[in-house]
Amino acid sequence: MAKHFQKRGKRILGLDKQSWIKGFFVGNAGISIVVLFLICFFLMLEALRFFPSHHESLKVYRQSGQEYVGHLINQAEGYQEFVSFTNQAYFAEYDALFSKERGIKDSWGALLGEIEDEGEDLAEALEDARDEEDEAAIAKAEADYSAFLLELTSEVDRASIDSFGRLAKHDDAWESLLEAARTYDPVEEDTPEFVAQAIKAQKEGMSDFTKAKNEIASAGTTLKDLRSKLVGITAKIAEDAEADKSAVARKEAILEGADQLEGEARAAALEEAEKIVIRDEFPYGERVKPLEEAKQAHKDAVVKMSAGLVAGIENIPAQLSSEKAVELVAKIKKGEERFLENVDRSLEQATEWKYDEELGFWNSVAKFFFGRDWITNSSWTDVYGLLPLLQGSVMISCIALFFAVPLSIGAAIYVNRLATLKEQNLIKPSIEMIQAIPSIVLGFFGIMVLGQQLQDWSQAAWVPEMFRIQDRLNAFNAGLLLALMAVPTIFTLCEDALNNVPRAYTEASLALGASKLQTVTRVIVPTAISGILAAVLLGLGRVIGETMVVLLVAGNRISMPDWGQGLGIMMQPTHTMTGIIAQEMPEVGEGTLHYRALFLVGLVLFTISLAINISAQKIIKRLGNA
Amino acid sequence: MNDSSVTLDSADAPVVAANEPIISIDDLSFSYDLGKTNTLRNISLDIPAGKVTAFIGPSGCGKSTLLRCLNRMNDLVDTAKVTTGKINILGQDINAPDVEAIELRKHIGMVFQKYNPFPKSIYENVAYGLRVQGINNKSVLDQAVEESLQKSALWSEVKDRLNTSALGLSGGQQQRLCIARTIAVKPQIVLMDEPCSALDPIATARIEELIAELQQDFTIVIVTHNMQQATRVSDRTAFFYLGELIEYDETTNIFGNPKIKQTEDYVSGRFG
Amino acid sequence: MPESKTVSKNPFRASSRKQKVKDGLGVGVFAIFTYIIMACAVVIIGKITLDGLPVILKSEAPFINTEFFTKKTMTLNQFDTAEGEMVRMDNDDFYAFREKNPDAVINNHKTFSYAGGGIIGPIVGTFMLVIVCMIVSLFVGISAAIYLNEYARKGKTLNAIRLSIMNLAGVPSIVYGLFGAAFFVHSPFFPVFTNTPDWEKALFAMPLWPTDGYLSFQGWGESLLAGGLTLAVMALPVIIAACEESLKAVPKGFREASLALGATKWQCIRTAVLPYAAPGILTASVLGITRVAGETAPIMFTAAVAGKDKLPWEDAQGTGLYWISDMMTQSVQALPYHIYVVTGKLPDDPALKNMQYGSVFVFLLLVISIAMVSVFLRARFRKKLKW
Repeated sequence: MAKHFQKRGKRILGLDKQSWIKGFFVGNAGISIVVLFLICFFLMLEALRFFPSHHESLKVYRQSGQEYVGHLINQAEGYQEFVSFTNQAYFAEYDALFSKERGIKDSWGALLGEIEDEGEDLAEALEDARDEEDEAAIAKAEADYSAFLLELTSEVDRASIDSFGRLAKHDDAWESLLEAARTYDPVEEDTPEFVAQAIKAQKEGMSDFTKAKNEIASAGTTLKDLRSKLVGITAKIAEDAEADKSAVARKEAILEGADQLEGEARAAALEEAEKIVIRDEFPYGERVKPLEEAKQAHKDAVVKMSAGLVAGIENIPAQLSSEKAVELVAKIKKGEERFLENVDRSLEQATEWKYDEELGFWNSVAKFFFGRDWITNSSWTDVYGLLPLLQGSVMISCIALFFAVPLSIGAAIYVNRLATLKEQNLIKPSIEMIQAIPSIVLGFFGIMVLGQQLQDWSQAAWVPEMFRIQDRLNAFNAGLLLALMAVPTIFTLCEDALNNVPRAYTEASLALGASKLQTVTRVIVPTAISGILAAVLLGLGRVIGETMVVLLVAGNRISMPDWGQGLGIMMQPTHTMTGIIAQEMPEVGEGTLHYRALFLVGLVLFTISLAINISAQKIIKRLGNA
Repeated sequence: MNDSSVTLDSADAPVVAANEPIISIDDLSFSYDLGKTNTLRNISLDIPAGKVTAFIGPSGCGKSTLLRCLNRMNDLVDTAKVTTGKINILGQDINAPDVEAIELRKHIGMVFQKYNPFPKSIYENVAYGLRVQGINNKSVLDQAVEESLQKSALWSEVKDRLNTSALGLSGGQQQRLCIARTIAVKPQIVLMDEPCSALDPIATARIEELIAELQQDFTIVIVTHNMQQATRVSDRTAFFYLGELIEYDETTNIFGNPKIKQTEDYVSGRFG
Repeated sequence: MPESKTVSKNPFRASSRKQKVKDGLGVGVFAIFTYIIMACAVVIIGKITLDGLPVILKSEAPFINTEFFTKKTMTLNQFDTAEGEMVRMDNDDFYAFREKNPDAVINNHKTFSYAGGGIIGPIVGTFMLVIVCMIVSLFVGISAAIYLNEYARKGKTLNAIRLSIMNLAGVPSIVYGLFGAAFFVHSPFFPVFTNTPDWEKALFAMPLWPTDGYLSFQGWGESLLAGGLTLAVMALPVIIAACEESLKAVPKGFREASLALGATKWQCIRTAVLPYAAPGILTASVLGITRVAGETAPIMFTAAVAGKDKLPWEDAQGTGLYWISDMMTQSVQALPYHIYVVTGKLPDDPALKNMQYGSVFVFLLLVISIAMVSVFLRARFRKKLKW
């Protein structure tokens, strides 16, 4: 009886057509879900393998003594800053006090150079004539030479001789230089009196500062020498240790190769294989002995350096006339104490360094997440620290949202509640057009047009000093472009949120005598606030994950911001998480530590964007129900 | 300064004596599509001050449209247009160019079919109309809120939770809150657009009681398609059909002794 | 205040000027914000059009610089002639010129890689990438959406799946690029047909008798397939979400009516759901193209190269399957990456300007027209959506 209601149709492999069709769709849904999981899986796979490798490389860094030398390098480099600041201050002061004298000295040198270059033949002729004591020839040569001098001095290009323009205000000095040049004798080669005086005056005037400068410079040399010596030693240790790891494989490969050779070549190969030492453990202890021995020398060098710095700074003349020099010296004095403290601390750390001290695994995690440097392809050691990239991404996002949020929320309110129908029909598609502009095109615009334009504008007189743009490509430029990218996202979602506000609220408000604007600000926006917040969050997600604009426009300089500049840091080049992946990924080998570091940055990005998305959904859910 | 800040914008309107026409509609035709078809046709009626006037009629007869003409809520529809005729309220043609719809609505409150308190606290809901008039003085607001809630018979129920969300109230309470919100700005006229259609019978009864009380202070125009309600609450009734005013008279006459056949058919339930 | 008590004839006149001014200012600010955004768009698109249009136009018939669209990317030569006139020539023209005039004086000779010739390579590459992407993502995406909306049992699992799909739509494109690099490019799970398997990389290679080739599981490397599939993965969440939306828009009554008449599930979907959802699905697919066609980051490490002399099919070896496989595993040029190369990687020089603005303009035109189509389609679809 029930036969009428039974399933009909052919069965294939025990399944009827409907099940097959369903299976097809299940399969495709399955593929997409599997792919989504694979994304997480592959990111994690590469990213999380970073930590063990990183730990391993940090261990080598310690065992090979590079950690120790790292302290030394930091000390030496820190000191180098003082040397360079002192030099700058010295020359600033020099210029301020003895600009004219320096101008005379340098210009005289340059003039002589020109004279000697061009009048070489004539000078030789004169010298020959004098050697031969032929009166007539002497007279002729002298006449020729002074004619040459006359011509040269009349044609000489003042700007190229006095290239820094130091004599621009001292025409008399310039004239006397020319005068002296006209009577210059290439054989006697004597220096005119006033030039000699100028040289003497500046030498005496600067003698105190010169002494201080030299004192500071020379105090650091011992450490510098020690540094280059130890760098060489530790680099070799690290290299050998690395080679040791592949010793077995290399030996086998050579032996295998040798089997196919004959005669001498075979013997040579065997010999080479023999040379490869295979040991269970690399003898770090033995190899780092020179470092242990150098510790005392290091200490002495640091003590000498610190003492030299203190003495040198004290010797810098108290009265300086150049503003720049005063500024620099103040900077030096300000940095002095901290530097000395740092040096002491780092010396202590260096002394405590032991090649065989345990290195906790968390180090490899902490050094990544809290590291303040990201250095790759360096001659010393690669460092992977997330902070500079993270702060770059965050800073650019903040700039972008600062502009995008008011603009897009304002526009959404305008279009949704205040604009005429005609305006709506114009604005909505236009903003969708903006959404369609590819990021590479915006980046292109930033590089070709906006960067230069912003820089020009920032030179205007009313712009505060710190906002003057030095580099065309900087965080601010990138932030502005990203703002434009975020606008459509925030706008569209905001408009949806505003649309979802029941019409009844608007009517009730208007019926109470509120104006359109009052209705918007007092009823509609407060009601839609959760949607608006979610829109802003999703805008943030879009901005922080954007790649091409920041890669092209942000300037790609990796450094922690100098907060001393206040908001001026916005005008500096920076680097971002997305930018670093795009920039370095094509250059790294698969499976290297660097490759995995980039994946880890990608995982961080992934996590951030997921967190943003999820919290946006949560906000809509929670506030939306209230 | 303090004095002016508590003066409601509706305070300077002329006072109309009871039973004198406060609204007079003269030959009004109205269209939702820029005059192609008229939703309301040639309507003339005077609504007396201090009374409750009910608009009745089958769905789509234009009674709600007429109500929304009275406070110019139809301005929200871009293509809406008064094609002929005039509406005079308090002696002023409300569609004249120098009339500000916003000002008009401060004098004419409106209660909607579906209760629609804002997603704010009870207090803020009632204070809203005052706040948009720039009154932010706490004590003035407190007083106005209490007064309005008392008038709308809600005070005893909500006085302990003025700062909780209005959306937590029951449907009937929400509708009474909407009435309180409307009367807080002291309008002369209160328009009610089927205020009980979303409520259960008990809540409806309370609203009806409330209307009877409010009648002392306000002129009330109520749209309803519940004829019993019209008989219970209103003094005068206007019956509309297909955009035209069929009959307008004392409520007792409309229901007891209609002059026109259509009215009789409708009130006796033969169609509608 | 007695003066405020003066009774006016019109009780509804505009009373407080202050509020009116406030309103006007507020509305004005919002309007200004809106038009600032519009102005930005106009400036950007305008600037690129103004500088890009001359590159692709010519003064004589056919008025379009066909060379720019048909030539391959090549090195640009710039030099001064004996008369001191600066000349720029594409590499092929330059060699022809040198052959013809071996004695011509060439001063200040400079070369710029990738800045000469045309952009046929990048255009073809972009189109092929998008086609691969669309074939895969539409097939999988639409089927997945049909399953999720029509077959899957409602419940927590389904919600979780929807949520994860939604979340993946917000993942940065560069992360998709990383995934593509690890999965499609480097992992050896993906097979190619080849005569010369890469034994080092291959998991294993299956000889294909009777040809002398192999099916070698060695991964795809940087290739059309890897790039196209990476883009497909990226488009998938958008397409699934948009398709589901249009399936949901079909009223339940249609399905119930169809099933009540004795249709099978598939007949019901085929006759009562898909025809009505089709415009929406079409819109979804165009939306998907818009999302991926403009992307650079996902193809940077999966498919794109800076320069290539041959189009994919010109460079492919072998016959039949081997030829197709070889073509699909070629790396390609792509317009967005080409723009990145000529603006971001080469030093700034006026000689590059033509190539830069020309490519950007063509690319912008392409992407914006696709977007326009999608906006138009959606508008039509929404209007029609009134059952």
